[in-house]
Amino acid sequence: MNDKEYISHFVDELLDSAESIQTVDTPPFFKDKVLGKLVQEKDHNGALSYPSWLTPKFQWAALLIFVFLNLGVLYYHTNYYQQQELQSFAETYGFSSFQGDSILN
Amino acid sequence: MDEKQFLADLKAQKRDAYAKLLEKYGKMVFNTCLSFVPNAQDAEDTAQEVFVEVYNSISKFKGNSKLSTWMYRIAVNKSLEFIRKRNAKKRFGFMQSLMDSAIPMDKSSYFTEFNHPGVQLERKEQQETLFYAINQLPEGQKVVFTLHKIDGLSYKEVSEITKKSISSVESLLFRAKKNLKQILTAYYKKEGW
Repeated sequence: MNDKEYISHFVDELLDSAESIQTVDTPPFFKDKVLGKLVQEKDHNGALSYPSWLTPKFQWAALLIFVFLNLGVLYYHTNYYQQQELQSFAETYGFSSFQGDSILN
Repeated sequence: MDEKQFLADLKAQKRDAYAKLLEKYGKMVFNTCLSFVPNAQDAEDTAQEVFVEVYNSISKFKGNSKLSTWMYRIAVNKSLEFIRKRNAKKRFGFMQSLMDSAIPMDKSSYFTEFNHPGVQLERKEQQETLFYAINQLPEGQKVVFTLHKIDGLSYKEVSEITKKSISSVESLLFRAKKNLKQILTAYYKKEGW
């Protein structure tokens, strides 16, 4: 048998030997370790839990409403102060029509 | 206890149900992990992760396949995930070793440490080489070869776990054997046989 044939034969044997690998038992305390891990997992999940109705869809909707409400309030607030500032400017420099109608003038 | 009640108890996350699950499938899961990750400690860690995944995902199990098939799938995925992470770490270590001009990676440093309790001592070196070669295969071929040849599952069982047809499984196994022969032949020639 030449080298090439010998290697080929050896490789075939090696591939067949994969079937000879035996099943083994679980390591000692495997069950206890896993059950301990599952208890930890339960505690961890419990600490992070949120109501079942708080689905991602609901969270997105709430976020959008929050953003729109804030934008609305900001817009209203800016407009209101702009008008007030304009009024106070006009009053300071005597441009206000309101000032002109006063009986004190 | 019938299967439906057992599943309901698992979904309700009852401790007794999980104790029973571990008794029934603990060995199977551990051996599957060991077939992919031939190190007893790493396989144990991976097997533990499999049961944690089962615990967290059991609510998604619809019962379209057998529970054992579903658990095999999780075990395979967790093992592949472990191998991917380990290979990424090795690659990073290899890059670092190049930077530091250290010795490049070889077979001996490829696995964490080959420690498969199901392998006979006199065959340890050969089997280590075999696992090294299996690790070089593309994932599909690796999964099919490992489940069929090492775990001893039938084509039908492998096809159910991998969600592939039996003819695809046969084809993958054929290619896996062909590639393994090439890898091992090249390896032994390099070793000076």
